[in-house]
Amino acid sequence: MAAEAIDPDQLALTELDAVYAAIMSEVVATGVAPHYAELARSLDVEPLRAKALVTRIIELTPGWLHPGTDYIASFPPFNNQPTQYRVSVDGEQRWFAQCGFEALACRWLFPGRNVTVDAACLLGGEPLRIEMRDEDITMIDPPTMVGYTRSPVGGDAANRPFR
Amino acid sequence: MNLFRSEEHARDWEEFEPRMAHLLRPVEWWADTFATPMFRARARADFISWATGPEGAAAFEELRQRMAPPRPDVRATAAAAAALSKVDLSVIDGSSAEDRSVEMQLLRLWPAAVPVETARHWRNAARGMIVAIPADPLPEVDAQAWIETRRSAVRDVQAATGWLARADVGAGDVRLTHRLAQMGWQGDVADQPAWTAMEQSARAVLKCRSLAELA
Repeated sequence: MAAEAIDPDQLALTELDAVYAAIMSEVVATGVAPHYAELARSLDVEPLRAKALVTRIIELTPGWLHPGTDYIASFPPFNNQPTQYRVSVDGEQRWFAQCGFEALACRWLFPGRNVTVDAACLLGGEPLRIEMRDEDITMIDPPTMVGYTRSPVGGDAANRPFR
Repeated sequence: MNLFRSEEHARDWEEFEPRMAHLLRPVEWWADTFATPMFRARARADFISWATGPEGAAAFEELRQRMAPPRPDVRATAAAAAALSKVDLSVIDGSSAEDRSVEMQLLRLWPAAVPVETARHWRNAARGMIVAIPADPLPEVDAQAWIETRRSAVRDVQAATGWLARADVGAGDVRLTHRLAQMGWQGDVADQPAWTAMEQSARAVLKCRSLAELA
């Protein structure tokens, strides 16, 4: 059966909202972003439509697919592909953050819970740790820690400010 | 978009790009940045509608402005110093370049750590601050204790206020300052001649709001 092409601009926002929420919910629960075929089953849509929806969501957000595949590599603030930014919730390490900055935003997906980011400094590899709970940053070790990006943020790629 | 143990670690990183030094910030600043609406909204059931609508556009613009580089066409000049002089900062009576009373207060008060409430007040209310601590210890102070006090001052203020603290041993001062852009400062902190000119112009006015509050 030949599949009809789906125009991404014709995808309804309500449908995109639902798919985004489903992906985020799965990542929050498991640490892993689902494949579009899995989403198709859970959302009761055809896989081709689920693929188009995922692709469109990735276009509208600062996430990305692994090049040459349909696999979600990054779904900020999380990363499906492991990074050096390990995220633990109430002591359980199951998540990875897209980058050091997005690691700080993971707490908004876990309200009322203790979120810890463990990482290694790019210079020397020494450990870094940040503990957060909702509005509070409860620990920064070492306290001299800084963040830095050499890439322009919020530049011309208007829809993808954090890459 | 990475985290480093300190400003020095970031600057020593092989991929450090001085052109982007304005995005070298304390992790607390980044935590605030990634607490803006753009990031909190991801838990919404209608996130895509929100992000592509007027609220999302406003949130994105807020983010862009927060991380915008300083305008390169304006230098630290008398205008910047004048802007600093208009900032609501307390003056310590009798303070001058030769007066060590401020440093004495600092040494006496800082090892007890800055109260969190005070630090948060600075962060919320103060628009700028320069603390100058001579590298040479006071005659009656143990040299090692002085060094540790300087380090602890940098650490405490940086951790509590989110201001980027710099320890410029070569110039003999520990300088703690940030949010200068909000006061009209558009230069590069690394622009040492301009920085020094601004500091000298403002020094008599500024000495230290924090100490006035602590005293």
